[in-house]
Amino acid sequence: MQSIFRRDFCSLIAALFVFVVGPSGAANAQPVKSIALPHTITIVFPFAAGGGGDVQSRIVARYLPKYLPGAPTFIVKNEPGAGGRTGVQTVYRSKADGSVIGSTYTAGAVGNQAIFGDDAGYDFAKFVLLTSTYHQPYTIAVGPQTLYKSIADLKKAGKPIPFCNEGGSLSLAYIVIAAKEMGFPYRLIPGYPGAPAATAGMLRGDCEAVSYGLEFTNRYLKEGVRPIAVHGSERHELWPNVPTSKEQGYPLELKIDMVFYLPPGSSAELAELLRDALTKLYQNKEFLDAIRAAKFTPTFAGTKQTQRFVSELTKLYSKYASELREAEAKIK
Amino acid sequence: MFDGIGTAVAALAQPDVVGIVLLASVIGLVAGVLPGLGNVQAMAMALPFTFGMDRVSAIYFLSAICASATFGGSVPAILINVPGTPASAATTIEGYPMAKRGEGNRALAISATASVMGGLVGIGVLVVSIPFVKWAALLFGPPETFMLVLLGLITIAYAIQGNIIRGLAISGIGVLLSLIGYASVTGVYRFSLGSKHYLWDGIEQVAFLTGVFGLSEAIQLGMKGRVVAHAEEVALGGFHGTLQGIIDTFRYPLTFVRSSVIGVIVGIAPGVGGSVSNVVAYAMTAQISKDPLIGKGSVEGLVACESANNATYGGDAIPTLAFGIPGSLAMAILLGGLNLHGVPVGPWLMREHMEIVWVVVFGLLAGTVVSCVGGLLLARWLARITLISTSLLVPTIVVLILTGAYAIRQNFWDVVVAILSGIFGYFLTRHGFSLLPLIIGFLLGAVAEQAFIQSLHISEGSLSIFFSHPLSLLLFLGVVATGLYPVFQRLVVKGVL
Repeated sequence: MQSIFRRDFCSLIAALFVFVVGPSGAANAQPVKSIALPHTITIVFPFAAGGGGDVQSRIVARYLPKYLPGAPTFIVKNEPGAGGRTGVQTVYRSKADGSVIGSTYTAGAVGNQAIFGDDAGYDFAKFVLLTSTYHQPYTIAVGPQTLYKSIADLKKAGKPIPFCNEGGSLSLAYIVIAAKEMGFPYRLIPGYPGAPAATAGMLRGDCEAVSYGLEFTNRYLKEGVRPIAVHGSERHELWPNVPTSKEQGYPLELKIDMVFYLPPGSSAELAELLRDALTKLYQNKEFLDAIRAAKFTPTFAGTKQTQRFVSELTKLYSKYASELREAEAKIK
Repeated sequence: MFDGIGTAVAALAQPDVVGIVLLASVIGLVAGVLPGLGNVQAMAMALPFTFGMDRVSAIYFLSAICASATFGGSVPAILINVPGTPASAATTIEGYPMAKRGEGNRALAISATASVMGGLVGIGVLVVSIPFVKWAALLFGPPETFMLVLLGLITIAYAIQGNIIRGLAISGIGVLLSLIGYASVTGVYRFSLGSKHYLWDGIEQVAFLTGVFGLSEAIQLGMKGRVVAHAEEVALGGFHGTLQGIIDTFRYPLTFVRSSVIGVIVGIAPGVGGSVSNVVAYAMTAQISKDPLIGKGSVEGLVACESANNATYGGDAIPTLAFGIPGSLAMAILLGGLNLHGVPVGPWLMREHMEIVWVVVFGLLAGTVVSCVGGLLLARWLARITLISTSLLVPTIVVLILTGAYAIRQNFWDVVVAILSGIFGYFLTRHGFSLLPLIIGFLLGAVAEQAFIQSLHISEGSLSIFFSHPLSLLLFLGVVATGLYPVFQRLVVKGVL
């Protein structure tokens, strides 16, 4: 009797397990009719929660539903790993039924493909691009213990300048490109789990310099971080006293942005629906105020402009492909 | 320093905020109890629900969830030997034997009391360190982190296993398992068995931990076919047991203070959190305690584990609030929540929004206190879980663990990992190996590797970096002392010294 009870109970539990676990897999297999959106849309962001891109993805997830038919529920899923490749791969392998949208730093995703080739696990050209935001120039900043005031000082240092960084992706790529263009020697201190940790590393004296986006670096000026160059064509309003790379003799424009994109094979109708919703969203005052309140500047670029950014980045990375692979190989 | 404290206190006096904190504590407690869930998952799921709240209420909500899950994780660790969260791994060593003796409610009461006290110490350190919080946040660079991890590994290998060679061997297996996948510093992809996707970021931690602890115990329970404890023993505990547990906690003030300090220090160090402080504090206590029950249901050991994992939050919050560097995954979600509600994170936070810093402090405190008081009130009833027959308990544990393993990433391979880990854990236990050195090696191996390689990058390959930084040198001396302690002890026993 007891053994029958045990068997029945175990069967019940097994059925319960299949019931609990099964539905999400089954839901993924549902075919999509026309462009009816799923009830739940997941934005996959390939870095940990808490950073600038994550926060902006979450603000978009909060305000975007009202611009879409059926006001679907948005979930932001952080899939950090492998320098941002894991989350991008997830989107690459997702069904093109509107249930998954990717958001990532364009320069990082394209850069990973340039560095790792097929091992990146995706072909960025096959994604369906929507719109982009969070546009800002990249910068070089030095620690309070150093005496560097300009690019010329970095060149005159007579030794490789140590840069704290994550170890791959964008932060590595833009250091390598800037060093090559400007002719200063460098060495990489990789392994910091994000820009705040790398900047803290510089303040602690682990390295002498960092290279990150202007809005991020701006947060740390009172802690002693000193920007010495902005990789833009003109001076930025936040830093009117910091000269551009161009002013220092190196016409280098390195910028970052965050792109929203769909898995390969997504329909044109679906893409248009989401582009239209995102365009309207970036005109919504309440949404823009929420972005500003989090101390980010709400920028926006439509699809054509976003595609142009991607194509410029692809060209830039192909120009420096051998240097990037060499730098990556050096830290192994 | 005290700017904005009035705003935070006044908000906490509002009935709706009190209700939010109570709700958050229940959510955190339940998430902690369920294997596979923890404060990270609960906070991530709760984040969208804060959109309708005002900024202060939302931050109270998230902070209270963050702090309350740890005690929740100790409940199944004590009653069924399944740590609800990784931060309760060591709790199983002393808590579960107590439950088997029919002292489940006493163990839960010790856990709740030590958790509150540890949480208070952690938050106290955070508050005291506010004037020099930036200095504290920069304290642990790569060489200091490496030496701290090394100290943890060697302490645990000796203290838990009793035999340092066996201990190091089993923690070495844990370290090897932690090296599977993509190495974040070097970008090398290792031991992946040709898998391009699943093992990219290594073995999933929750699946591995719940499998090793929970499934292996379920196998043992199933084979023995009995209840965890006997009715008459549990009945003897009753309310008296709960009261005894509260009193017990205060019998070990030194253990409590030492473990709480370890919790705070581990919290400040990057990449290590409650899962490590819980084990390190326990290992240190096991090494120096004279309690004959150590490893068999010792009150002192339980006080050490439970005060450390809750004190870690204070340490975690230091780099989080000072620099916007999340001290743990839960703190990363909290930072996201702050940003979403218009609070800029990073150094600006303490310059411009001290009231928010205080809200985080009081939120963590309130979450700890509410969850633990709830635990104390419910302890005698929760303890009755140990009376459930294995024919019901074992399938329930199995389902909870496998569902938890799946829920983290919705990947069936994680379920397979949990099952294989369970079999592996059962095999180790049967052959007299402790599971904790394995777990701690697994949790710390990759952190140690990253800190070591980073240190060598900074010093351009010179090992002198580990001895030229004062804190790193101090920790190294601790490593040497711990390594030589058994030799010294043997010489004393033989009368040579």
